[in-house]
Amino acid sequence: MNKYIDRLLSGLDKAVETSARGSARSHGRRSFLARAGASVLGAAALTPVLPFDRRASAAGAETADECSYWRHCALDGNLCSTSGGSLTSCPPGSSASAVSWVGTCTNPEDGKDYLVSYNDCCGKPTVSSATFCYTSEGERPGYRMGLYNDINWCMANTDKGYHCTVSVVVGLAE
Amino acid sequence: MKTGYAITLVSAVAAGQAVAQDSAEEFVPETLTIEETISEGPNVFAMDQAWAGPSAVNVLGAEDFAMKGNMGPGTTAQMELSKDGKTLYTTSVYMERYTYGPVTVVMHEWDVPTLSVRREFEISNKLAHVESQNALLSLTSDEAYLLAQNATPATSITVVDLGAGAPLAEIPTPGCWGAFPAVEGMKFTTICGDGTLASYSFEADGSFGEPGKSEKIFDVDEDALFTNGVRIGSELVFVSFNGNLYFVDDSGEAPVLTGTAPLTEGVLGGWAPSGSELIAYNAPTNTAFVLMHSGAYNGSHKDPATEIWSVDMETRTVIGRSPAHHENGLAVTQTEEPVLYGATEDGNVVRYDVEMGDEVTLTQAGEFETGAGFLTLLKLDR
Repeated sequence: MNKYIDRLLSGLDKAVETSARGSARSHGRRSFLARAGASVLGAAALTPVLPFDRRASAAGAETADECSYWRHCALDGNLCSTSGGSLTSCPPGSSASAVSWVGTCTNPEDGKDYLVSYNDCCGKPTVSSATFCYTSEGERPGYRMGLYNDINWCMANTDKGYHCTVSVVVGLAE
Repeated sequence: MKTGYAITLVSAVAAGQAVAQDSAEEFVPETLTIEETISEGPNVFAMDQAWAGPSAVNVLGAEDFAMKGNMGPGTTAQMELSKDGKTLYTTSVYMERYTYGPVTVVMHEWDVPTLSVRREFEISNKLAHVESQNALLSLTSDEAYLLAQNATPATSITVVDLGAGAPLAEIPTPGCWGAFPAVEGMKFTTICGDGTLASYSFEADGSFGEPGKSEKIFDVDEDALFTNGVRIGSELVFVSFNGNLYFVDDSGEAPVLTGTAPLTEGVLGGWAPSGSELIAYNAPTNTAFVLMHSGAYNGSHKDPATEIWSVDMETRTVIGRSPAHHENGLAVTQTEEPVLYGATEDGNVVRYDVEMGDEVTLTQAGEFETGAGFLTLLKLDR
Protein backbone atom coordinates (compact mmCIF):
# COMPACT_ATOMS: atom_id res chain seq x y z
CA MET A 1 0.00 0.00 0.00
CA ASN A 2 2.83 2.37 0.86
CA LYS A 3 4.34 1.68 -2.50
CA TYR A 4 1.05 2.52 -4.14
CA ILE A 5 0.73 5.78 -2.25
CA ASP A 6 4.29 6.72 -2.98
CA ARG A 7 3.73 6.16 -6.65
CA LEU A 8 0.49 8.08 -6.66
CA LEU A 9 2.14 11.02 -4.97
CA SER A 10 5.08 10.89 -7.28
CA GLY A 11 2.65 10.91 -10.15
CA LEU A 12 1.09 14.10 -8.86
CA ASP A 13 4.48 15.69 -8.51
CA LYS A 14 5.34 14.70 -12.01
CA ALA A 15 2.15 16.13 -13.39
CA VAL A 16 3.08 19.53 -12.07
CA GLU A 17 6.68 19.22 -13.09
CA THR A 18 5.86 17.96 -16.55
CA SER A 19 3.36 20.68 -17.15
CA ALA A 20 5.87 23.33 -16.19
CA ARG A 21 8.65 21.94 -18.27
CA GLY A 22 6.67 20.76 -21.27
CA SER A 23 6.21 24.23 -22.57
CA ALA A 24 9.90 24.95 -22.44
CA ARG A 25 10.95 22.05 -24.62
CA SER A 26 9.95 21.69 -28.20
CA HIS A 27 11.64 18.57 -29.48
CA GLY A 28 14.29 16.00 -28.87
CA ARG A 29 14.12 13.04 -26.55
CA ARG A 30 15.94 12.99 -23.32
CA SER A 31 14.55 10.26 -21.74
CA PHE A 32 13.03 3.25 -23.00
CA LEU A 33 11.83 -1.68 -21.07
CA ALA A 34 11.08 -3.32 -17.89
CA ARG A 35 11.55 -3.39 -14.29
CA ALA A 36 9.63 -6.57 -14.80
CA GLY A 37 12.41 -7.71 -17.05
CA ALA A 38 10.34 -7.42 -20.18
CA SER A 39 12.15 -7.84 -23.41
CA VAL A 40 12.03 -5.77 -26.52
CA LEU A 41 8.67 -6.36 -28.06
CA GLY A 42 7.71 -6.69 -31.67
CA ALA A 43 5.04 -4.39 -32.94
CA ALA A 44 3.01 -7.32 -34.15
CA ALA A 45 2.62 -8.49 -30.56
CA LEU A 46 1.31 -5.18 -29.39
CA THR A 47 -2.33 -5.34 -30.27
CA PRO A 48 -4.16 -6.38 -27.13
CA VAL A 49 -7.65 -5.04 -26.61
CA LEU A 50 -8.20 -5.12 -22.87
CA PRO A 51 -11.43 -4.13 -21.17
CA PHE A 52 -9.33 -1.55 -19.60
CA ASP A 53 -8.71 0.19 -22.93
CA ARG A 54 -12.41 0.72 -23.46
CA ARG A 55 -12.75 2.12 -19.98
CA ALA A 56 -9.94 4.54 -20.68
CA SER A 57 -11.75 5.77 -23.75
CA ALA A 58 -14.99 6.14 -21.85
CA ALA A 59 -13.20 8.15 -19.20
CA GLY A 60 -12.55 10.79 -21.81
CA ALA A 61 -9.98 11.51 -24.45
CA GLU A 62 -8.96 14.71 -22.73
CA THR A 63 -7.04 13.07 -19.95
CA ALA A 64 -5.34 10.72 -22.35
CA ASP A 65 -3.91 13.74 -24.13
CA GLU A 66 -2.22 14.94 -20.96
CA CYS A 67 1.18 13.86 -19.80
CA SER A 68 -0.21 13.14 -16.35
CA TYR A 69 -2.45 10.37 -17.76
CA TRP A 70 -1.39 7.26 -15.88
CA ARG A 71 -0.24 5.14 -18.80
CA HIS A 72 2.18 7.84 -19.92
CA CYS A 73 4.31 7.33 -16.77
CA ALA A 74 7.57 6.69 -18.65
CA LEU A 75 6.91 8.39 -21.95
CA ASP A 76 9.50 10.67 -23.47
CA GLY A 77 8.12 11.99 -26.71
CA ASN A 78 5.18 13.50 -28.56
CA LEU A 79 1.75 11.98 -27.98
CA CYS A 80 0.41 10.31 -31.12
CA SER A 81 -3.10 11.11 -29.86
CA THR A 82 -2.27 14.75 -30.56
CA SER A 83 -0.43 13.99 -33.82
CA GLY A 84 -3.27 12.45 -35.84
CA GLY A 85 -3.31 9.02 -34.19
CA SER A 86 -4.66 7.82 -30.86
CA LEU A 87 -3.49 6.31 -27.60
CA THR A 88 -2.84 3.03 -29.37
CA SER A 89 -2.61 3.90 -33.06
CA CYS A 90 -0.04 5.63 -35.22
CA PRO A 91 -1.14 8.50 -37.48
CA PRO A 92 -1.98 7.67 -41.10
CA GLY A 93 0.97 7.01 -43.37
CA SER A 94 3.43 6.39 -40.57
CA SER A 95 4.82 3.03 -39.52
CA ALA A 96 4.89 1.52 -36.02
CA SER A 97 8.30 0.87 -34.53
CA ALA A 98 9.37 -2.76 -34.70
CA VAL A 99 10.79 -2.50 -31.19
CA SER A 100 9.76 -0.53 -28.12
CA TRP A 101 10.52 0.33 -24.55
CA VAL A 102 8.21 -0.58 -21.71
CA GLY A 103 7.05 1.20 -18.62
CA THR A 104 5.34 -0.15 -15.54
CA CYS A 105 2.49 2.21 -14.69
CA THR A 106 -0.16 2.12 -11.97
CA ASN A 107 -3.78 2.57 -13.07
CA PRO A 108 -5.33 4.67 -10.32
CA GLU A 109 -8.77 3.20 -11.09
CA ASP A 110 -7.87 -0.31 -9.94
CA GLY A 111 -4.49 0.22 -8.27
CA LYS A 112 -2.90 -2.40 -10.49
CA ASP A 113 0.41 -2.13 -12.27
CA TYR A 114 0.35 -2.58 -16.03
CA LEU A 115 3.08 -3.03 -18.59
CA VAL A 116 2.85 -0.25 -21.13
CA SER A 117 4.65 -0.58 -24.44
CA TYR A 118 5.81 2.75 -25.78
CA ASN A 119 6.10 2.31 -29.50
CA ASP A 120 7.34 5.13 -31.64
CA CYS A 121 5.60 5.88 -34.90
CA CYS A 122 8.05 6.49 -37.69
CA GLY A 123 8.82 7.94 -41.08
CA LYS A 124 7.31 11.41 -40.77
CA PRO A 125 8.19 14.76 -39.23
CA THR A 126 6.99 15.53 -35.74
CA VAL A 127 3.80 17.58 -35.39
CA SER A 128 4.67 20.99 -34.04
CA SER A 129 1.46 21.34 -32.06
CA ALA A 130 1.69 17.88 -30.50
CA THR A 131 1.86 17.46 -26.73
CA PHE A 132 5.37 16.65 -25.64
CA CYS A 133 5.69 14.47 -22.54
CA TYR A 134 8.75 13.79 -20.51
CA THR A 135 8.22 11.25 -17.77
CA SER A 136 10.65 8.57 -16.67
CA GLU A 137 9.14 6.37 -13.97
CA GLY A 138 11.25 3.20 -13.78
CA GLU A 139 13.37 4.40 -16.67
CA ARG A 140 16.96 3.16 -16.87
CA PRO A 141 19.99 3.96 -19.05
CA GLY A 142 20.92 2.11 -22.24
CA TYR A 143 22.35 -0.88 -20.39
CA ARG A 144 18.72 -1.78 -19.73
CA MET A 145 17.73 -1.04 -23.28
CA GLY A 146 14.13 -2.19 -22.87
CA LEU A 147 13.61 0.52 -20.24
CA TYR A 148 15.51 3.28 -22.00
CA ASN A 149 13.64 6.26 -23.38
CA ASP A 150 16.42 8.58 -24.59
CA ILE A 151 16.81 6.70 -27.89
CA ASN A 152 14.93 6.67 -31.18
CA TRP A 153 12.90 3.45 -31.16
CA CYS A 154 12.41 3.76 -34.92
CA MET A 155 15.98 2.47 -35.07
CA ALA A 156 14.97 -0.99 -36.35
CA ASN A 157 12.56 0.28 -38.99
CA THR A 158 13.27 0.99 -42.64
CA ASP A 159 11.96 4.49 -42.09
CA LYS A 160 13.73 5.82 -39.04
CA GLY A 161 12.44 9.36 -38.65
CA TYR A 162 10.77 9.88 -35.26
CA HIS A 163 7.11 10.98 -35.52
CA CYS A 164 5.31 10.34 -32.20
CA THR A 165 4.75 7.77 -29.44
CA VAL A 166 1.80 5.57 -28.42
CA SER A 167 1.11 3.98 -25.02
CA VAL A 168 -0.20 0.45 -25.49
CA VAL A 169 -1.12 -1.63 -22.44
CA VAL A 170 0.25 -5.11 -23.09
CA GLY A 171 -0.31 -6.87 -19.80
CA LEU A 172 -0.31 -6.91 -16.01
CA ALA A 173 3.03 -6.31 -14.37
CA GLU A 174 2.31 -8.57 -11.44
CA MET B 1 0.78 51.05 -51.19
CA LYS B 2 3.19 49.74 -53.79
CA THR B 3 2.95 53.01 -55.75
CA GLY B 4 3.73 55.08 -52.69
CA TYR B 5 6.70 52.85 -51.88
CA ALA B 6 8.00 53.20 -55.45
CA ILE B 7 7.81 56.97 -55.30
CA THR B 8 9.67 57.00 -52.03
CA LEU B 9 12.31 54.65 -53.41
CA VAL B 10 12.83 56.77 -56.55
CA SER B 11 13.23 59.84 -54.40
CA ALA B 12 15.76 58.11 -52.21
CA VAL B 13 17.75 56.90 -55.20
CA ALA B 14 17.77 60.34 -56.74
CA ALA B 15 19.01 61.83 -53.50
CA GLY B 16 21.61 59.09 -53.22
CA GLN B 17 22.92 59.83 -56.71
CA ALA B 18 23.37 63.44 -55.81
CA VAL B 19 25.35 62.50 -52.74
CA ALA B 20 27.33 59.91 -54.71
CA GLN B 21 28.34 62.47 -57.33
CA ASP B 22 29.58 64.74 -54.61
CA SER B 23 31.68 62.06 -52.97
CA ALA B 24 32.46 59.72 -55.88
CA GLU B 25 36.16 59.88 -55.35
CA GLU B 26 35.89 58.84 -51.74
CA PHE B 27 33.44 56.03 -52.31
CA VAL B 28 34.90 52.56 -51.85
CA PRO B 29 32.55 49.67 -52.53
CA GLU B 30 32.37 47.07 -49.82
CA THR B 31 33.78 43.65 -50.56
CA LEU B 32 32.16 40.41 -49.56
CA THR B 33 34.61 38.27 -47.59
CA ILE B 34 34.58 35.10 -45.54
CA GLU B 35 36.15 34.93 -42.10
CA GLU B 36 39.11 32.61 -42.49
CA THR B 37 39.32 31.48 -38.89
CA ILE B 38 37.56 31.90 -35.61
CA SER B 39 38.99 34.41 -33.20
CA GLU B 40 41.59 33.15 -30.77
CA GLY B 41 40.86 32.21 -27.21
CA PRO B 42 39.23 29.36 -25.32
CA ASN B 43 35.93 28.00 -26.57
CA VAL B 44 32.77 26.28 -25.49
CA PHE B 45 31.37 23.74 -27.98
CA ALA B 46 27.62 23.45 -27.55
CA MET B 47 25.76 20.60 -29.26
CA ASP B 48 22.28 21.52 -30.46
CA GLN B 49 21.14 18.01 -31.33
CA ALA B 50 18.43 17.62 -33.96
CA TRP B 51 16.22 14.56 -34.35
CA ALA B 52 15.23 15.69 -37.83
CA GLY B 53 17.64 17.46 -40.17
CA PRO B 54 21.06 18.79 -39.27
CA SER B 55 22.42 19.18 -35.76
CA ALA B 56 24.69 22.13 -34.97
CA VAL B 57 27.79 22.46 -32.85
CA ASN B 58 27.91 26.11 -31.89
CA VAL B 59 31.28 27.54 -30.92
CA LEU B 60 31.20 30.24 -28.24
CA GLY B 61 33.97 32.28 -26.74
CA ALA B 62 34.51 30.82 -23.28
CA GLU B 63 34.99 34.23 -21.69
CA ASP B 64 32.38 36.40 -23.33
CA PHE B 65 30.08 33.89 -25.07
CA ALA B 66 30.81 35.58 -28.40
CA MET B 67 29.29 33.51 -31.19
CA LYS B 68 32.18 32.34 -33.39
CA GLY B 69 30.25 30.13 -35.81
CA ASN B 70 29.23 26.51 -35.98
CA MET B 71 29.79 23.08 -37.50
CA GLY B 72 26.96 21.12 -39.05
CA PRO B 73 26.78 17.35 -38.67
CA GLY B 74 23.62 15.37 -39.41
CA THR B 75 20.78 14.03 -37.31
CA THR B 76 21.20 12.78 -33.69
CA ALA B 77 24.84 13.82 -33.72
CA GLN B 78 27.48 12.84 -31.16
CA MET B 79 30.74 14.75 -30.69
CA GLU B 80 34.23 14.36 -29.27
CA LEU B 81 37.01 16.96 -29.08
CA SER B 82 40.73 16.25 -29.45
CA LYS B 83 42.97 17.06 -26.48
CA ASP B 84 44.46 20.08 -28.24
CA GLY B 85 41.02 21.41 -29.09
CA LYS B 86 41.91 21.72 -32.77
CA THR B 87 39.86 18.80 -34.07
CA LEU B 88 36.24 17.95 -33.46
CA TYR B 89 34.86 14.53 -34.38
CA THR B 90 31.18 13.96 -34.96
CA THR B 91 29.10 10.95 -35.91
CA SER B 92 25.60 11.45 -37.22
CA VAL B 93 22.79 10.00 -39.25
CA TYR B 94 21.58 10.99 -42.72
CA MET B 95 18.16 9.78 -43.84
CA GLU B 96 17.89 10.00 -47.61
CA ARG B 97 14.45 11.67 -47.45
CA TYR B 98 15.00 13.46 -44.14
CA THR B 99 12.45 11.39 -42.23
CA TYR B 100 12.50 8.16 -44.21
CA GLY B 101 14.48 6.17 -46.71
CA PRO B 102 17.91 4.56 -46.62
CA VAL B 103 20.28 5.70 -43.88
CA THR B 104 23.95 6.48 -44.03
CA VAL B 105 26.07 7.28 -40.99
CA VAL B 106 28.98 9.65 -41.41
CA MET B 107 31.97 10.42 -39.27
CA HIS B 108 33.16 13.97 -39.77
CA GLU B 109 36.52 15.33 -38.78
CA TRP B 110 36.27 19.10 -38.38
CA ASP B 111 39.07 21.60 -38.37
CA VAL B 112 38.12 23.80 -35.44
CA PRO B 113 40.06 26.97 -36.36
CA THR B 114 38.31 27.17 -39.74
CA LEU B 115 35.11 25.35 -38.69
CA SER B 116 35.50 23.31 -41.89
CA VAL B 117 35.26 19.65 -42.78
CA ARG B 118 38.76 18.18 -42.96
CA ARG B 119 37.53 14.73 -44.02
CA GLU B 120 34.51 12.50 -43.77
CA PHE B 121 33.68 8.85 -44.33
CA GLU B 122 30.85 6.42 -43.73
CA ILE B 123 30.79 4.11 -40.75
CA SER B 124 28.36 1.41 -39.64
CA ASN B 125 24.71 2.38 -39.99
CA LYS B 126 24.07 0.70 -36.64
CA LEU B 127 24.99 3.94 -34.89
CA ALA B 128 22.62 4.64 -32.01
CA HIS B 129 20.13 7.44 -32.66
CA VAL B 130 20.29 8.77 -29.17
CA GLU B 131 20.76 11.86 -27.06
CA SER B 132 24.39 12.90 -27.19
CA GLN B 133 26.59 12.02 -24.23
CA ASN B 134 30.33 11.85 -23.67
CA ALA B 135 30.33 8.06 -23.32
CA LEU B 136 28.69 7.53 -26.71
CA LEU B 137 31.57 8.86 -28.81
CA SER B 138 35.08 8.90 -27.35
CA LEU B 139 38.72 8.86 -28.34
CA THR B 140 41.19 6.28 -27.08
CA SER B 141 43.99 7.73 -24.96
CA ASP B 142 46.40 7.98 -27.92
CA GLU B 143 43.65 9.55 -30.04
CA ALA B 144 44.24 6.92 -32.74
CA TYR B 145 40.75 5.39 -32.54
CA LEU B 146 37.21 6.59 -32.09
CA LEU B 147 34.69 4.50 -30.17
CA ALA B 148 31.10 4.93 -31.36
CA GLN B 149 28.05 3.46 -29.62
CA ASN B 150 25.69 1.33 -31.75
CA ALA B 151 22.15 0.15 -31.02
CA THR B 152 19.84 -1.85 -33.29
CA PRO B 153 18.71 -2.23 -30.37
CA ALA B 154 21.45 -4.85 -29.87
CA THR B 155 24.45 -2.93 -28.59
CA SER B 156 27.98 -2.84 -29.94
CA ILE B 157 30.89 -0.44 -30.34
CA THR B 158 32.27 0.58 -33.72
CA VAL B 159 36.03 1.17 -33.54
CA VAL B 160 37.12 3.73 -36.10
CA ASP B 161 40.79 3.73 -37.16
CA LEU B 162 41.52 7.42 -37.61
CA GLY B 163 44.91 6.73 -39.23
CA ALA B 164 43.34 4.57 -41.91
CA GLY B 165 40.23 6.70 -42.12
CA ALA B 166 37.94 3.68 -41.92
CA PRO B 167 36.04 1.53 -39.44
CA LEU B 168 38.31 -1.13 -37.90
CA ALA B 169 35.95 -3.40 -36.00
CA GLU B 170 32.51 -3.81 -34.49
CA ILE B 171 32.76 -5.19 -30.96
CA PRO B 172 29.51 -6.67 -29.60
CA THR B 173 28.78 -5.38 -26.09
CA PRO B 174 25.46 -7.10 -25.35
CA GLY B 175 23.52 -5.54 -22.51
CA CYS B 176 26.10 -2.82 -21.96
CA TRP B 177 26.17 0.88 -22.72
CA GLY B 178 28.85 3.52 -23.25
CA ALA B 179 32.56 3.33 -23.81
CA PHE B 180 35.03 4.81 -21.33
CA PRO B 181 38.54 4.69 -22.83
CA ALA B 182 41.32 3.27 -20.67
CA VAL B 183 44.22 5.39 -19.50
CA GLU B 184 46.41 3.62 -22.02
CA GLY B 185 46.16 1.07 -24.77
CA MET B 186 43.35 0.00 -27.05
CA LYS B 187 40.83 -0.71 -24.37
CA PHE B 188 37.54 0.64 -23.02
CA THR B 189 35.17 -0.06 -20.16
CA THR B 190 31.37 -0.22 -20.41
CA ILE B 191 28.46 -0.42 -17.93
CA CYS B 192 26.24 -3.51 -18.13
CA GLY B 193 22.64 -4.22 -17.21
CA ASP B 194 23.51 -7.06 -14.84
CA GLY B 195 25.23 -4.61 -12.52
CA THR B 196 28.73 -5.36 -13.75
CA LEU B 197 31.26 -3.38 -15.71
CA ALA B 198 33.23 -4.93 -18.54
CA SER B 199 36.54 -4.02 -20.16
CA TYR B 200 37.14 -4.77 -23.83
CA SER B 201 40.50 -4.73 -25.61
CA PHE B 202 41.18 -4.77 -29.32
CA GLU B 203 44.21 -5.01 -31.57
CA ALA B 204 45.41 -2.86 -34.45
CA ASP B 205 44.32 -5.57 -36.90
CA GLY B 206 40.75 -5.30 -35.63
CA SER B 207 40.76 -8.50 -33.61
CA PHE B 208 39.38 -8.57 -30.08
CA GLY B 209 38.83 -11.15 -27.38
CA GLU B 210 36.41 -11.82 -24.55
CA PRO B 211 35.83 -8.93 -22.13
CA GLY B 212 37.12 -8.81 -18.59
CA LYS B 213 33.91 -8.77 -16.48
CA SER B 214 33.78 -7.38 -12.96
CA GLU B 215 31.89 -8.81 -10.05
CA LYS B 216 28.45 -7.24 -9.59
CA ILE B 217 29.11 -3.61 -8.71
CA PHE B 218 25.70 -1.96 -8.55
CA ASP B 219 22.01 -2.86 -8.33
CA VAL B 220 20.20 -1.72 -11.48
CA ASP B 221 16.81 -1.67 -9.75
CA GLU B 222 17.80 -0.18 -6.40
CA ASP B 223 20.70 2.14 -7.21
CA ALA B 224 21.27 2.42 -10.95
CA LEU B 225 24.33 4.20 -12.33
CA PHE B 226 24.11 7.15 -14.64
CA THR B 227 26.14 6.45 -17.78
CA ASN B 228 28.34 9.44 -17.22
CA GLY B 229 31.68 8.88 -15.64
CA VAL B 230 34.73 10.95 -14.87
CA ARG B 231 38.23 9.60 -14.80
CA ILE B 232 40.58 10.14 -11.88
CA GLY B 233 43.81 8.36 -12.68
CA SER B 234 43.25 4.63 -12.88
CA GLU B 235 39.70 4.96 -11.60
CA LEU B 236 36.37 5.80 -13.18
CA VAL B 237 33.86 7.52 -10.94
CA PHE B 238 30.12 7.10 -11.53
CA VAL B 239 27.09 8.67 -9.87
CA SER B 240 24.08 6.57 -8.87
CA PHE B 241 20.40 7.50 -8.88
CA ASN B 242 20.43 7.59 -5.05
CA GLY B 243 23.41 9.89 -4.85
CA ASN B 244 26.29 7.52 -4.28
CA LEU B 245 29.65 7.72 -5.97
CA TYR B 246 31.09 4.44 -7.24
CA PHE B 247 34.87 4.23 -7.70
CA VAL B 248 35.95 1.60 -10.22
CA ASP B 249 39.54 0.72 -11.09
CA ASP B 250 39.68 -0.37 -14.73
CA SER B 251 43.47 -0.65 -15.05
CA GLY B 252 43.47 -4.45 -14.80
CA GLU B 253 41.94 -7.14 -16.96
CA ALA B 254 38.53 -6.71 -15.29
CA PRO B 255 37.12 -3.63 -13.53
CA VAL B 256 37.17 -3.68 -9.74
CA LEU B 257 35.00 -1.65 -7.36
CA THR B 258 37.35 0.09 -4.97
CA GLY B 259 34.84 2.07 -2.93
CA THR B 260 31.62 4.04 -2.72
CA ALA B 261 30.81 7.38 -1.14
CA PRO B 262 27.33 8.67 -0.27
CA LEU B 263 26.66 12.30 -1.15
CA THR B 264 23.18 12.60 0.32
CA GLU B 265 23.43 10.61 3.54
CA GLY B 266 21.95 12.64 6.41
CA VAL B 267 20.89 15.47 4.08
CA LEU B 268 17.28 16.55 4.46
CA GLY B 269 15.05 17.35 1.49
CA GLY B 270 15.15 14.20 -0.60
CA TRP B 271 18.11 15.33 -2.66
CA ALA B 272 19.32 13.21 -5.55
CA PRO B 273 21.43 13.63 -8.68
CA SER B 274 19.72 14.25 -12.00
CA GLY B 275 20.38 15.27 -15.55
CA SER B 276 22.25 13.89 -18.48
CA GLU B 277 25.94 14.81 -18.31
CA LEU B 278 25.55 15.39 -14.59
CA ILE B 279 29.11 15.17 -13.26
CA ALA B 280 32.25 17.08 -14.20
CA TYR B 281 35.71 16.83 -12.67
CA ASN B 282 38.50 19.38 -12.35
CA ALA B 283 41.81 17.54 -11.89
CA PRO B 284 44.02 20.41 -10.65
CA THR B 285 41.76 20.98 -7.62
CA ASN B 286 40.61 17.34 -7.37
CA THR B 287 37.02 18.60 -7.25
CA ALA B 288 33.90 17.13 -8.83
CA PHE B 289 30.67 19.00 -9.53
CA VAL B 290 27.32 17.19 -9.52
CA LEU B 291 23.84 18.32 -10.64
CA MET B 292 21.27 17.80 -7.88
CA HIS B 293 17.52 18.26 -7.30
CA SER B 294 15.36 17.99 -4.19
CA GLY B 295 12.14 16.06 -3.57
CA ALA B 296 13.39 13.12 -5.61
CA TYR B 297 10.88 10.46 -6.72
CA ASN B 298 10.86 7.46 -9.05
CA GLY B 299 11.44 9.05 -12.45
CA SER B 300 12.94 12.36 -11.39
CA HIS B 301 16.48 11.33 -12.37
CA LYS B 302 16.39 13.52 -15.47
CA ASP B 303 14.95 16.60 -13.85
CA PRO B 304 16.89 19.83 -14.27
CA ALA B 305 19.14 20.76 -11.39
CA THR B 306 18.27 23.15 -8.62
CA GLU B 307 21.69 22.95 -6.99
CA ILE B 308 25.23 22.07 -8.00
CA TRP B 309 27.19 20.23 -5.33
CA SER B 310 30.95 20.46 -5.12
CA VAL B 311 32.73 17.32 -3.96
CA ASP B 312 36.26 17.05 -2.62
CA MET B 313 37.44 13.84 -4.25
CA GLU B 314 40.24 13.42 -1.73
CA THR B 315 37.89 13.16 1.25
CA ARG B 316 34.93 12.19 -0.97
CA THR B 317 32.69 14.66 0.83
CA VAL B 318 30.44 17.52 -0.26
CA ILE B 319 32.18 20.81 0.38
CA GLY B 320 29.78 23.21 -1.30
CA ARG B 321 26.20 23.62 -2.45
CA SER B 322 25.29 26.39 -4.87
CA PRO B 323 22.13 27.39 -6.71
CA ALA B 324 21.75 25.91 -10.20
CA HIS B 325 19.83 27.25 -13.18
CA HIS B 326 17.93 24.20 -14.47
CA GLU B 327 21.00 22.52 -15.94
CA ASN B 328 20.96 19.07 -17.51
CA GLY B 329 24.64 18.96 -18.28
CA LEU B 330 27.97 20.21 -16.93
CA ALA B 331 31.52 20.72 -18.15
CA VAL B 332 34.49 22.17 -16.27
CA THR B 333 37.85 23.49 -17.41
CA GLN B 334 41.08 21.76 -16.44
CA THR B 335 42.63 25.02 -15.32
CA GLU B 336 44.10 25.71 -11.88
CA GLU B 337 41.16 28.01 -11.26
CA PRO B 338 38.20 26.00 -12.54
CA VAL B 339 35.46 27.57 -14.60
CA LEU B 340 32.22 25.62 -14.69
CA TYR B 341 29.71 25.63 -17.56
CA GLY B 342 26.15 24.37 -17.40
CA ALA B 343 23.77 23.44 -20.23
CA THR B 344 20.22 24.31 -19.23
CA GLU B 345 16.98 22.68 -20.23
CA ASP B 346 15.99 25.89 -21.98
CA GLY B 347 19.08 25.79 -24.21
CA ASN B 348 21.20 28.30 -22.33
CA VAL B 349 24.84 28.03 -21.38
CA VAL B 350 25.63 29.29 -17.87
CA ARG B 351 29.11 30.14 -16.73
CA TYR B 352 30.11 29.85 -13.08
CA ASP B 353 33.20 31.19 -11.40
CA VAL B 354 34.45 28.77 -8.77
CA GLU B 355 35.81 30.03 -5.49
CA MET B 356 37.86 27.28 -3.94
CA GLY B 357 38.56 26.87 -0.23
CA ASP B 358 37.33 24.77 2.65
CA GLU B 359 33.93 25.53 1.18
CA VAL B 360 33.47 25.83 -2.57
CA THR B 361 31.21 28.57 -3.87
CA LEU B 362 29.88 28.88 -7.40
CA THR B 363 28.89 32.29 -8.69
CA GLN B 364 27.03 32.80 -11.92
CA ALA B 365 29.28 34.89 -14.14
CA GLY B 366 27.36 34.83 -17.40
CA GLU B 367 24.58 33.24 -19.37
CA PHE B 368 24.02 32.88 -23.10
CA GLU B 369 20.78 31.98 -24.81
CA THR B 370 21.89 29.69 -27.61
CA GLY B 371 18.36 29.29 -28.89
CA ALA B 372 19.05 25.56 -29.17
CA GLY B 373 16.01 23.33 -29.31
CA PHE B 374 17.90 20.49 -27.65
CA LEU B 375 21.17 21.52 -26.01
CA THR B 376 22.61 18.13 -25.13
CA LEU B 377 26.33 18.39 -24.54
CA LEU B 378 29.15 20.85 -23.87
CA LYS B 379 32.83 20.40 -24.66
CA LEU B 380 35.70 22.65 -23.54
CA ASP B 381 39.18 23.13 -25.00
CA ARG B 382 41.01 24.07 -21.84
